[in-house]
Amino acid sequence: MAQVTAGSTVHDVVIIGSGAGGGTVTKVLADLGIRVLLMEAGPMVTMDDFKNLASPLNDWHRGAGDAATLYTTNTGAAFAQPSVVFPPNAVDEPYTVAPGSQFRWSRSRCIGGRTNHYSRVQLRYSDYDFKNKSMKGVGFDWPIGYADLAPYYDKAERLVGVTGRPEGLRTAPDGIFQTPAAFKPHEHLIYRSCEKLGIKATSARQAVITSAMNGREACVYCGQCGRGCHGKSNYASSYVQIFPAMETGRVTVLANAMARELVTDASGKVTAVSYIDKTTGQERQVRCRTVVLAAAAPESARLLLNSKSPRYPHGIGNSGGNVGKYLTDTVGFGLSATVPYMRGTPPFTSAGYGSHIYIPWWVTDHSKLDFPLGYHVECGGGGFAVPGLGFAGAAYGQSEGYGLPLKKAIRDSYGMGTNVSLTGRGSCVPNEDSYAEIDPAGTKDKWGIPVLRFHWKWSDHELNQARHMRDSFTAILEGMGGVVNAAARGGGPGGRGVADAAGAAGAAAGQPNGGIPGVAAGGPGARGGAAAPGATAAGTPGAAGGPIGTPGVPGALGAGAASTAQTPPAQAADDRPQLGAGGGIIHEVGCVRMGTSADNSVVNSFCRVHDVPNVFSADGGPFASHADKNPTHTIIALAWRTAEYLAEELRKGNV
Amino acid sequence: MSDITRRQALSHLAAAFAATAAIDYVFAQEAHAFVQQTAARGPYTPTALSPQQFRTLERLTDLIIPVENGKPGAVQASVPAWIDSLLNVNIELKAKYVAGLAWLDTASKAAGATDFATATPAQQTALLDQIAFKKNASAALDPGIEFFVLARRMTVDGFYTSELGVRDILPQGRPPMPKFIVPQESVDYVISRSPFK
Repeated sequence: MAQVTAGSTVHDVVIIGSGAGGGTVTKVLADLGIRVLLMEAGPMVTMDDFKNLASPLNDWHRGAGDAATLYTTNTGAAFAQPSVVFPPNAVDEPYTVAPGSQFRWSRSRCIGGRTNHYSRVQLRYSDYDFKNKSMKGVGFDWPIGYADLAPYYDKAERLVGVTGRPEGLRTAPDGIFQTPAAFKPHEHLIYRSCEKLGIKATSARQAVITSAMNGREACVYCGQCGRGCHGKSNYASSYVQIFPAMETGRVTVLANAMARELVTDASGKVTAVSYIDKTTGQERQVRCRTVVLAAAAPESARLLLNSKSPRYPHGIGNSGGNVGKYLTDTVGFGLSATVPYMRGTPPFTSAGYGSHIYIPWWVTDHSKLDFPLGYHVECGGGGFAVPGLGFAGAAYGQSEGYGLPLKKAIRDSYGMGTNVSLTGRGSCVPNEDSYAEIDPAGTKDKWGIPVLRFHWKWSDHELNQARHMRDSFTAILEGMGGVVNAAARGGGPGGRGVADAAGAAGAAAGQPNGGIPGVAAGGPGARGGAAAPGATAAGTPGAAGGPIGTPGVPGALGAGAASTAQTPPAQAADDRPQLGAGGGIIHEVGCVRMGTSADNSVVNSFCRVHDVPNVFSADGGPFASHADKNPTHTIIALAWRTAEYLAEELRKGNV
Repeated sequence: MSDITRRQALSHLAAAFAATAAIDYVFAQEAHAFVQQTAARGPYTPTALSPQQFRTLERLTDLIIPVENGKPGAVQASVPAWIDSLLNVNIELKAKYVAGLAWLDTASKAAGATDFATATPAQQTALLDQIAFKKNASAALDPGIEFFVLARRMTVDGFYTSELGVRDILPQGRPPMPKFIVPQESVDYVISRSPFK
């Protein structure tokens, strides 16, 4: 692309990263008539990459493999994998984890990033989520509040589409909702069990449209959201924002471009972005008037930290030493139960869009609790998965035989009908011990770019909260007559399996409710075929090879490898669940935090870097604190607000 | 499927459907139409197996997943053809089938039949009653048991991933749905057994 070599066009806006934040900025600016250049470290995708309606019948071998190896070496085709996950090669693009810490970083490098396959839980932050310090006494206040973002949540919902039922709960602000799908049988049980306990459950708030809009088709309830949606019925920044924005002619996409650093001039402003063209390995530059960081919070922090110059010896935006600080994720804990009387439920096509119910946080007075911030619950279970190869193995493995008794055994065992799972997603209080830095050991990626080293520590706030999750989930599950599955030694990472491919993982279906077994179809809490007992429904989809970069650096602890070297987060006699690695829930935000000055933060209330005013942040980086709510909705709303502000500043000539 | 088998399948289904309960009527119609479409495409010509071996495979899969109460079985769902096409791309797998099918013939001859495919149903089921259960393991039966485990796995896989077979357990299949519908009977079934009834 000739126009992006150094010395050519000066782009008004260069956006680095194409997920929820980058996609939103791209769309908003293009619609406002501004030309942008969108850089993405992975490849372009097309609608053909989204295979949500795939079935075993799509392939003549139905998943056995082109050489039918499923039946000789047990290696089938990759059908069960999400179709749109592009994890970086962990050897080429490593990261490291400090001794004593556990951290997993899930990345997906492609247009749309992780929005192509995420679980689509789309929740507004509550008023107190922006004011944790003043209202809850912990963490930090954002310099903005709910009222500042409310109009942008509205805009996001009109574009994205979010299912839900208005409930008037302070812990779960209502939005402009798509009509939600009906509860499934086990969801009626969850609803009623919660009701008995004085807990209000409600329809899941998912980034899925149940009525056609904006050229997108209404959901057809196939349960494979994790593959992206060929009908564009759920949200992904690729087909909801970037592809439509490209049609304006004002968007240039620069794929396979790995940003190395921001280049500044004598005045201290950023004038270009240096990047590696991954297809050739050559370093190039693209010139810009402004740059928007949207590479995902830690990746954006890495870019700032690597942008060193005599003027900015510690990196851009880092005069106060705040870049990389106060990294947060989400507290995850899952519990499942067997509900024996659900066996024999008359089968129906149960996939839907994953879970159709969720439980908002129900306590407003924390004075009797030993933790300051709440959680919500995503639910899985029940369901009748469309059979894939091997689905009936348990049935004939146990009953043996043949003929009509075999058919009956398969019919009787069909479905995941007796399993119900609850997955907690809790707010994490920012702490001094959880942060990212440039690896002091000097580890570099394939192109010589210094990599991040992560530090992670859960505090009593999170561990106490997880204990409350275990107690409340036990009450809900036992209240419906369920027998809680053992092995709940903490639920690990709260439900995303160890090999979570970008959450991707998956999704689905395993959905708990009805996708194809082993296929991660999207859906909250619905990943993976069979969740381990006690673990949540949100297990990973069994997709192999998550985007977890285990560095091949001797002595460096990779995310996956860190478990053995972990410092136990609690005493031996501690009855609290152990929590999984930081980053395990794939909600990592912070590191490029919003605040009132360069002393306490990196960006201001409009996500503009204090020190370098032509640099903006539009991913999860600016989050000063992290609610229990999944971050995507707030990333979109915040990026939308930032983009409008940037457009106005460009118009005024202020950048 | 071979000509003979197709005619057998059609007559078999027709007979089965005649005795079908009303609830299966629509499904039976679809199944019948599907079999007719398959027939219209012409007979399946085995590519990996010989015609004799294929007939043996058809009979075996028919015994593993038979027609039942108007619902088609493995042969109607073209499972033998699917297996044959897999054998065609995997020499190791093909060798297992060639040996396993030959073992069935040898065992059938020992029981007084010409081969497995033409043995009487009683002779066929007597043999399967031995090799379909691991408790019968013995030096003499082990090759048959090992083959049967493989053949059963692939027959079940092929059947329940087929358009016809999936409906045996999920009557509606997985059609795109304009509206998500949960049958009231499914909700009632669960609620009526719960503490919330």
